Amino acid sequence: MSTLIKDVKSKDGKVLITKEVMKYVQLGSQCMERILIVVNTISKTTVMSDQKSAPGTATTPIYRPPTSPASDPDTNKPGCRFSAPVPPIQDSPDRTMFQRTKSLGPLDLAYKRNQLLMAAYKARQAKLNARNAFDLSLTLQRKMAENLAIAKLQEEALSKKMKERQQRLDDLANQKFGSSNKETKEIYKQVLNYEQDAEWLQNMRKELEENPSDPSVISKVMQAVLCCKDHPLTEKLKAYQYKIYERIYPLVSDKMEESKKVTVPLDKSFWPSKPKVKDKLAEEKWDENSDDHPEEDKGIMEAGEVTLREDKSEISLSELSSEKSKSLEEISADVKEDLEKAMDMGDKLQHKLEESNEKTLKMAQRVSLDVESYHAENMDDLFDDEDEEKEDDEDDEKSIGNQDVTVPKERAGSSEELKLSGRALRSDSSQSLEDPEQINKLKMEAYKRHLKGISEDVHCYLDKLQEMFICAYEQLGSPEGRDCCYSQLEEPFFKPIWQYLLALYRFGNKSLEIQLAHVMTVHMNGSPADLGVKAKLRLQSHDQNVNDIPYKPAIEELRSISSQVTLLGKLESLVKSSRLICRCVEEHYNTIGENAPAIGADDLLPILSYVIVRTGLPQIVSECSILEEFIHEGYIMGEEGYCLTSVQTALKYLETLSNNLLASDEE
Amino acid sequence: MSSAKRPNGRASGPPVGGARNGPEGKSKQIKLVLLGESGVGKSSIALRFVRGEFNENGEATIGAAYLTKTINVQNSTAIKFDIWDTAGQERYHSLAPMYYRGAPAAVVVYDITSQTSFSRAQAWVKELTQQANSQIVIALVGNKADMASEGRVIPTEDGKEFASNNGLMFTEVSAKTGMNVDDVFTNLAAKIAAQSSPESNSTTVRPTNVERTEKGGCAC
Repeated sequence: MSTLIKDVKSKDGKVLITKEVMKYVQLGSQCMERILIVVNTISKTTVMSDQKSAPGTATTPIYRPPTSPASDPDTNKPGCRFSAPVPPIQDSPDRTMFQRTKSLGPLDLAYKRNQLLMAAYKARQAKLNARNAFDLSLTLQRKMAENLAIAKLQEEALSKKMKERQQRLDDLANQKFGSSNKETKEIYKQVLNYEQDAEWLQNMRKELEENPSDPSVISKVMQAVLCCKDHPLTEKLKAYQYKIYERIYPLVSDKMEESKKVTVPLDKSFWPSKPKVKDKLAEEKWDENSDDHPEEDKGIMEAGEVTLREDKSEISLSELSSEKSKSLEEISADVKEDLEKAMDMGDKLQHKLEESNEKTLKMAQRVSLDVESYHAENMDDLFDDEDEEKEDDEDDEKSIGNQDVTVPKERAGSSEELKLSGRALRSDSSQSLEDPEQINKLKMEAYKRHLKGISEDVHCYLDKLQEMFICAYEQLGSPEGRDCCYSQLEEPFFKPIWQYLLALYRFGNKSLEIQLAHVMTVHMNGSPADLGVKAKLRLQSHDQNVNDIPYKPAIEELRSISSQVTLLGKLESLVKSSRLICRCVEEHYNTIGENAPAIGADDLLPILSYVIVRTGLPQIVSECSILEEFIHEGYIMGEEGYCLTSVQTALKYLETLSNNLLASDEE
Repeated sequence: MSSAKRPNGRASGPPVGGARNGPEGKSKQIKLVLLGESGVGKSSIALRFVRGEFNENGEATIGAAYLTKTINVQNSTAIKFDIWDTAGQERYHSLAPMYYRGAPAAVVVYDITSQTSFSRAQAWVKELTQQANSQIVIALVGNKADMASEGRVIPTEDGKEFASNNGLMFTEVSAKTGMNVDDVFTNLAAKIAAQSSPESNSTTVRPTNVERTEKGGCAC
């Protein structure tokens, strides 16, 4: 090829452009074309092999950063947390994923063959003179044309076959699911299609058909499916997982550090406030500041508050659909302008806010009513009564206004509506007081709503995935199959997002965790007696040389809950810990040669409380609430459910203990 | 997705409710919750039922708080009881609903030698009828019937009356001697089995149960 070009170049200018030369040029250009195709093919295959060579670490295309400016308006806001894109989930490298190798189509093969021919041609041409080279090039051309023609025929035959296959699958899906559910049919088709090229999956399907209720076969099939990185079901799982992750990450990315501060021993500055304010949010340092030094700390406080509040409004903004990509600035300017006159918020308003967030439509209607009545009554006062010094409150108002306003907007979609609700807010704010605690409370409530929404989504996605597996493998539809299916889905689904989910729950449970950490700190070296364990179960060793604390194995087992990565593993820790409590009693009485007492719940709970305290892990609260939320119903009924319930009961008791401790401190 | 037609036609979602049906008509899993003041002998009753033995110091077991036992009732249905013991101490009361949530059966225990335990049992019954699953079958059980001659405080009639006023099953038992203990559970199982089988309805079942309770009181 290069020789040819050189030839042309060297003759250029000197030699007349004869027919022959024209032919050379033509041939050259044809060759270039072919080479281009070949190069494309090569680059394609190298990309493919790249993916293959890095199993487990390569993130799939769906893990792209989610923020494109058009679809996510929040990225446009300067200084907002969304400016940093959500980083991809760290895929756990221990799970070996692999991709099915795709066989090349006939055309691809033909290109490859032609490429080889070309190489051979080049080598031979180098040895020959021009005349022979020309003949050779003609031969080559013919051969390549032939190859391509054959390949084309093959390709056509294949595509016909594929079409037939598609049709067959279509028919199969139709036959199976009627014409009612497109999504179901689609996934079923995709799965079957995938299986056509993976014989081992077909074999597994056969095995499952032969042993429809054998849990080990079911697990095997599911594991096989979930190991195929590009299996349609696995891709669905990843997509859902990513959706959850995408929602959680912005909420927790800046709070993970914060939660880590809740440890034992708990720093005094984090101690919960006095029982009388126990319903208010205890953890906010800002509150303390504002109580102690209203003036000089106000600036700092405000700054902090503002960022926090911005977070909050961003959170709610993030919920909005992409339709509202039109200027956010403009909207908030509108709102701000309106709200500049607003001063304080009352309980009434707070109530309204909650309501509006939950029942958006209803609110929208009410808002217009409110506005009307307001206009009728005291429109004038509104713009006159403005107080400069209240500017501090603006931001509070603004963020809450924003939060509130954005929700109706999602439905109403007009800035007119925004203004209306902004005014409605003000109309309610007549007889209220400025209260950062209330704002925190609201913030917390917003957060809890997110938590609830995300939890619901997780449930929903898990159900969907289960349904998909069932429609792909109908044998999983039996009750045993469902149970098995769910438990198999759980690990791959939760594992990569666990730390984020935990952070979300930890933040939601923060005040509870602080109470628990407080009790843990106070009783850090406590004995079973401190938590009301009966004398005969305190297991005090008569042997002074033994330094082991009572119930040590149970404490260690419970501590391991945080290192377990699956829900079932965590549940197992709880069960084992409870069992170990009983075994400790048994062994203790064996060593002193007496009959051990039976341990009913009356005895178990105080011991459990003691064991929990000695673990020094306040995050147990959150671990347990995640377990309660997501563990399969089937487990809740059994021993696992019993242990979880008992641990939660003990936790609840410990939380109340915190208040009692503070109350007695005061006296 | 829940509307998706599937060949087996089963409703979507994981199995729900206290009574998990296995393959049709073969066995049933029943969550049974034990309630009552601390020290009335809830776990002793459960142990007696499950293991059939009792001695004053008790015996070392792993998890006397959570026990299971399968029994057969007349129409050859196997009923597997998951017995959840609860802590009687008031300080653990706040999460009691978690224990009785979804339980189709409850045994409320009091000590016939203790007035407070009887009041507490009445409070439990009230709470259950208000808050638990409306289908819940409750058995009121007076324990320590073996001590009736020395220390009875609650007359059998009081228990019986309270039970019939509230539609409960009633038995006096002794976990120590084993008296009537099995009856409590077999009667519960029979009632639940009858309740869920379509041909019989609960109104015809109740009178037999009330009659059954007669023999509880006079055994000592």
